[in-house]
Amino acid sequence: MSVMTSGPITSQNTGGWLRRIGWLERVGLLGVLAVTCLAVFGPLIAPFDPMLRVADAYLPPGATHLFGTDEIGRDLFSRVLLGVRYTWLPGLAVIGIALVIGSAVGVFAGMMGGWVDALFQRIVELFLVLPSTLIAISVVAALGPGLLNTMIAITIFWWPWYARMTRDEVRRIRSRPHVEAARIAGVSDMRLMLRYLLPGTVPALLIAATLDVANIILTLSLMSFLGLGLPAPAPELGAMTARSIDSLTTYWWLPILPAIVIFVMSVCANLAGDGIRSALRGA
Amino acid sequence: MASYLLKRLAGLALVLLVMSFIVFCLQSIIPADPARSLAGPSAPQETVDQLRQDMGLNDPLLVQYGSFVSRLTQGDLGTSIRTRQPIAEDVLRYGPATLELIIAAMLMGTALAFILAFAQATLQRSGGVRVGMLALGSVPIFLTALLLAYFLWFRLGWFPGSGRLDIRRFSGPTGFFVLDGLLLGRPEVSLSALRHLFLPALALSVPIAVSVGRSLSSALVDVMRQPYIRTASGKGLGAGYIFLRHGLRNAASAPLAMLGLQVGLLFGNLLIVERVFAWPGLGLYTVQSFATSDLPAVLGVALVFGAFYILVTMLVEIAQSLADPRIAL
Amino acid sequence: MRDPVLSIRGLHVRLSRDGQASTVLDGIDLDMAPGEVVALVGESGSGKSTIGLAIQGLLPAESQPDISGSIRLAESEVVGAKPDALRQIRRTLVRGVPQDPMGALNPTMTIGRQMAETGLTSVEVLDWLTRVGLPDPERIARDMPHRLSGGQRQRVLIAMSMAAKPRLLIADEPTTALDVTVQAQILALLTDLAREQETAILFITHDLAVAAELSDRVMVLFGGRVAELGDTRKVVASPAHPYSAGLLSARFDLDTDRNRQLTSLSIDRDRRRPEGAHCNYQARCPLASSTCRLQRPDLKETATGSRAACFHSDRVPELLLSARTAPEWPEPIASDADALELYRIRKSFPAGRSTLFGKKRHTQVLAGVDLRIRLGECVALVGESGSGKSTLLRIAAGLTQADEGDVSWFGGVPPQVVFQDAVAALTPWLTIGEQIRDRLRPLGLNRSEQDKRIAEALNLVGIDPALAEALPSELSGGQCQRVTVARAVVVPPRLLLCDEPISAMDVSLAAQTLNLLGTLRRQLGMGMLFVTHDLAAARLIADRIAVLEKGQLVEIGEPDQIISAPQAPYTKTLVSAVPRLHAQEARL
Repeated sequence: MSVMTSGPITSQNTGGWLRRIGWLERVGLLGVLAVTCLAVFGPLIAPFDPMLRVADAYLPPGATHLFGTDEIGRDLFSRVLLGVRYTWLPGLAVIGIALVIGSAVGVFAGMMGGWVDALFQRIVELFLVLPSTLIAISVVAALGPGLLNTMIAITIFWWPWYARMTRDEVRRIRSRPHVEAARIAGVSDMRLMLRYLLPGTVPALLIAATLDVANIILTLSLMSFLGLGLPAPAPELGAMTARSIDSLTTYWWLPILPAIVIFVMSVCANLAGDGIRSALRGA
Repeated sequence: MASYLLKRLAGLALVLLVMSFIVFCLQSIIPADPARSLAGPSAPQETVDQLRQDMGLNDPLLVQYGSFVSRLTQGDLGTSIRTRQPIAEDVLRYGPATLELIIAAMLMGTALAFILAFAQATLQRSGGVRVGMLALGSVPIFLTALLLAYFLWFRLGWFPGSGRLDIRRFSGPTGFFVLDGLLLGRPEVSLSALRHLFLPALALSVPIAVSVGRSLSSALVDVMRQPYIRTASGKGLGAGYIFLRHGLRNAASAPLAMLGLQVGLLFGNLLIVERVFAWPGLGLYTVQSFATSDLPAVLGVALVFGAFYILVTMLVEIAQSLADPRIAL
Repeated sequence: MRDPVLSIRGLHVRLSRDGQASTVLDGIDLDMAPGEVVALVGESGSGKSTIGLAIQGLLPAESQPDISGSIRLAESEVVGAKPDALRQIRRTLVRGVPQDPMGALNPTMTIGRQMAETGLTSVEVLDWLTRVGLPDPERIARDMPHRLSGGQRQRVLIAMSMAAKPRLLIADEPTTALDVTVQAQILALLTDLAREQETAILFITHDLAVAAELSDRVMVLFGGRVAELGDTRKVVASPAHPYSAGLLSARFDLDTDRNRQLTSLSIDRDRRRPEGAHCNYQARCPLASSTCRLQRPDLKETATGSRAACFHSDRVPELLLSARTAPEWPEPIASDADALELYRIRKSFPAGRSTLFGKKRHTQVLAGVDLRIRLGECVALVGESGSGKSTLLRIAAGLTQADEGDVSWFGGVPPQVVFQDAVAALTPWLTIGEQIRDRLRPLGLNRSEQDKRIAEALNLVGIDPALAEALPSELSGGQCQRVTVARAVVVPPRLLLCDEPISAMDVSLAAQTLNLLGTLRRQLGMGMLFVTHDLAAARLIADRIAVLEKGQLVEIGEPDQIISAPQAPYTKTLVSAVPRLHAQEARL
């Protein structure tokens, strides 16, 4: 899931960070921006109503219908645009919530130390050793399908990664001489945490979170593929592929094109994550 | 070693207990009445009530959990609503097909991981390999499966795209058809089984290959910069020998852990791959159980798979300690 | 000279770092006779390690080495050699002993196997382990490296190298990572074995005194070029290059005048490696003239008999004379009040993992230590790694709780600390001004008063106050150390604790830091605890030396008394382990 890399924090010289990002990674960052815009405004620019029959069924991709039409003559391109919203925004939301919960718990455990920290570590270990996708799927199956339930289930199994990462970063930075030096210099506890500790955990978390956007999208679409997301007419990308899987040999675009859109989103997210990593770490 | 095994087994029992508790909780929040669904919609209410009594559904929850666990220890996972069979029997029936697929996927994934890692190590300066790996790591598993099926099966016809065998009605002593063909002296069965295995195993192996390959190549890059590698080349040893004897073993730990982690992520992918390639294993069984809201079956499989994953994690730890004597068990 | 075992001609090496290539070695010539010991002396970044690696053909591929010139090892050319030929050369002609023995052995292979890899029989392996003085060779051959101490590992590595009976051994600071008491033994072992087998040694070091003890000839390297090359005794007695002279006057040992400050070289290091037609040393050289900026000096015979690359060799003696007249220490503000009182401090740490049912085992680190430091007084705490000296400092600072005993500070005010790694002691994302300001916050000054105090503190340690806006990453290591001192003294503390502040520094930087700390504690009347493993530094900075061994103070007293008449056996070993340059001179 998360990429566990922690290294020294390098200088954040102004100006230098932009140059460290390769052109491909910049494309990825732009792509992430573009996908976010599409997710927010996509339905506004959709050429057809995604829910209505607008042409003959099974039209192959062409000029009018960029991605062709589906089994009841709905415009696939318009449906995919809406599908981007249903995949991308929940993905960002899950990451955001998991980050907030995880970093709060992680900072708390890391700062407290002692038995609080030990207890916290046992709990997180338990979460990490359980086969997460599996239980998430079971949870949604039991709670009943739906986007919200899916998001809850994924969040439950995602925050421990961030919590552990934050906790480890806090412990690492706390044991570094500069924090000790600040404490000796008489810096107050609150100021110590906000100015001397937290900024140090940001790079690692930011990198992990960006790289995880791709993982979340893949997991969400997997759940959607299994029919655990929104119910039938809603154009979720994974579900669109799943429902048309038997048309693979006859109308290939129905299952393949939504899957390719997921792929493109996930590539952009991964590239952007790499870009942010090189900007922050100089690697 | 013995105390380690003891400790780990205790840990395993604990995790299984937690898993069983989760599964139990999930089962008890299901709105549907399991007695009703087992008896069928047309059964009279008295039958259902009797069944509830027999199943212990009127007992307090804690008692129910106790008997749930005691049944689990006897290998009783409950009864499937869809197949009306004990779930344990279904697991035994479909399990070998899935295990065969998992083993094939792990082997292929490991082999591909080596290829990717070496490609990255030798072509470090060309961004091609890196971008390729990033792309491979971003493909949703169903796209991989669909593309493989579309091209290698439907378009080119190189490999079969559904089922486990060409012949119908084959059964062997172990349920692993590749092995059964050899045991029964029918190599054509093994061959057919292998050909059928290829596409689904390949689809499953891609995510394994990418993550293990990435971890292997970064571990190798790191290890090959260590001072002891310089000591070894300073002794006049050959580059190949140094790589094999001094490099690989020291780089093994992180990729091994990643391989274990991938088993945990395999389950979701199995559902999709078995669905796309009509592979009659536990994944397909689970997908069909979803479709008929057969929750006990889904949860039963989840429990079995969870136990399998925890066992794998344990094996990984043992393998890591064999590779690196500093990791004491 | 007999046929040289090593012959380097016009060696140029360019290495890339972060995609930028720079010249690391610029025209090196060197011949070594069989069995000869040559010391290669220079500061970090001078290219001395690069020479050693280039001779073995071991320059890392990721730095894309670009090598020209010639390195001949007993008739075999190393530059441009095919992998097979290079392997043969490494197998039979040249071996290395690394700087850090901890990482230099494969952690997943037994010692015996690693030694046998180059064709030693198991009998030979045991024989060699015995010869390098390892106890119980059978057990060590079966052991994994992580069970051996640093000194034992270095012995294994020496055995591994010398067993090949190489013609040349490259020893790259083989003892810097080891405890002082072990260092001398390792050096003796190395030279004895080399003499037996007539192996030449290229000894890479930053310490002229170590070079003087061991070597026949010395090559002083600066900025990738040879500054001076000649008979060790002659170079040490009368250097002909201003850089050699600077190194000599900046280094200190047990004979240095402790009533004066140390002389030190200018350390403004030009980060770009100057290439081209000028003297590399001119930016730092007190003798530099316009010629030095326009022409590259060649190595030429000097009046003293060594060869130096300097246009003004004849003026180097003046430089040495002026260096002997460094300023005296300022008058101390002393008082009889205690800045620190440690009373029967005990501390133990849990050792290893607790067994399932057994009790946790504890190792005692400090076994009842008493220590008082008066205001204005400096006590140096000397001991090797594991003696408990760092733990004692942490307890004195209030960073670690003692199990038993009392810590009391003058006025109850906690002390300030100067850490070993100054770069790590500064927060990377805050400017140095902000970090110093955080000490002023409780005083309730307004912003401009704070700025004034910050500027004063920076001036006091010799840093341009304009740098208050800089991030630590924009400063050099030496500047960072000064900033941490400025932070400590911006509100003058009653007690300053220094944790090995000079152990990772080049001589010139170490001398400047000692001068700074010695001056400040006298001017500000601070008590000071100076933790170090370096007896020579302890003697210079401190009014009293306390020797810590295995958690107990075995000796405490005036520096000269401790050094001339050490009482505890452990102190005697420590004293005899310090390399002494002037004792060397006296012997000549």
